[in-house]
Amino acid sequence: MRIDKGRISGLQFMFLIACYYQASSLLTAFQTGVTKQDTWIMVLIGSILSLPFLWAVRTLMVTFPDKNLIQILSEVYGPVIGKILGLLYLWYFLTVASLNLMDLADFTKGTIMTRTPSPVMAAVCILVASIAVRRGIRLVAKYGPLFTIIAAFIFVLSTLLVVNQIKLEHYLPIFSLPPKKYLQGAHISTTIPFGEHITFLMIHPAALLSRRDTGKYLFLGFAVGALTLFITTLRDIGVLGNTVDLFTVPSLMTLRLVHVGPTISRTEILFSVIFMILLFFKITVLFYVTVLTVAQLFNIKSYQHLILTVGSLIVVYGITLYPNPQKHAASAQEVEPVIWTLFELFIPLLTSIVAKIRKLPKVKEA
Amino acid sequence: MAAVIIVYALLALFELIPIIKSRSWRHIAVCGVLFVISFALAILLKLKVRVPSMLLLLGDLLRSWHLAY
Repeated sequence: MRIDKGRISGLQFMFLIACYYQASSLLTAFQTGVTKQDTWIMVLIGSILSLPFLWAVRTLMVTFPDKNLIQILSEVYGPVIGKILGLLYLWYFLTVASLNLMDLADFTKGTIMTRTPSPVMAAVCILVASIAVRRGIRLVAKYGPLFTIIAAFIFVLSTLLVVNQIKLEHYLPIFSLPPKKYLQGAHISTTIPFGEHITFLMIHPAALLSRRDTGKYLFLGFAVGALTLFITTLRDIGVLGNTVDLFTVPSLMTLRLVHVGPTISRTEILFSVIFMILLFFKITVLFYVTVLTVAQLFNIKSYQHLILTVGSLIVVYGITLYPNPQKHAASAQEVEPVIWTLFELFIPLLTSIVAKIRKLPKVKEA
Repeated sequence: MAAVIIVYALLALFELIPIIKSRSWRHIAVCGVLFVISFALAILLKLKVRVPSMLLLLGDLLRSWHLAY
């Protein structure tokens, strides 16, 4: 049973994925803090390492085209273990939504609305997102193509404006850090931006996809996002050099350095706008997925009267997670990759293997 | 404190009352539990009570098992 009857096209599904990853590509500080000028290599390695896991997600989407993640877990592991895993995924979606919401609130407070408290920013964002969530996946995904194109345009324009400040020596020395740092950097890349593809397993039943299109749109969306993240990291390191790890949002600092004559300066405002748009989109997707997970897990036919309650929980839970952005960054570098490995890499891979062994889904005899 | 109570009263008015009227008990139970958790957290935060962070606790646990970086 599908709770939200709305449908989206394959192309909208692809842009939703691309836009989701683009939003992650703007927060590269977690990685630059660990692997500094070698982060671009870690992004490359992380995106390659993510491919088998993305394939596992694709396998689950193709094997269970009409079932979301919670339904798949119940079918593969049975009702009891399925429900337990479903509850764990509810916590995961709630946490990721809260973390992104607090990122947006902290960024807005730090750059544009310095006198507005973060919880107020977070509450306003959730209130606006709740309008989209109430209208279902059709409205959530509708703006994906527009946001992706605007983001790509601003991203290309801003990169062209700082090309003259990129210095090749900023990428040197290569591989001068201890091996453990590279392992950590690759792990962060694989889990924090790329591993979140598990979210799309809650959305794919709404997408009108053939077996062939599922892989095509999933991988294309991933490619756009990974390419954006790769070029963003490469640009920021090229401009900022070994100071890149000093900033919580390196792209903002890169664009502050744009100065083409007296007319083109202060272009970081472009970045601030696109950052807020993309992160708002990502939060809306995660908010929708969290509400849908609650409804699916507890067999509630209509999710409309859960939205504001779940939204309020995302806000207050987000406030309790970290006392400041520095603690958040430290945890994202040291602890979160380990926790997210279970949800983003291990369980999807295991589920696709168990489904294969059990020859699921079983065809009902007439 | 008054602002928190007003916000949650409005939330109850818009979300809880319609489902109570619909008499969908499962829906009432789920929504009610989430509402109580959210309201309790909001009150604790407003009273400046230090609510333990689940991720920081998990971090400490993983570090004690030598599973964190």
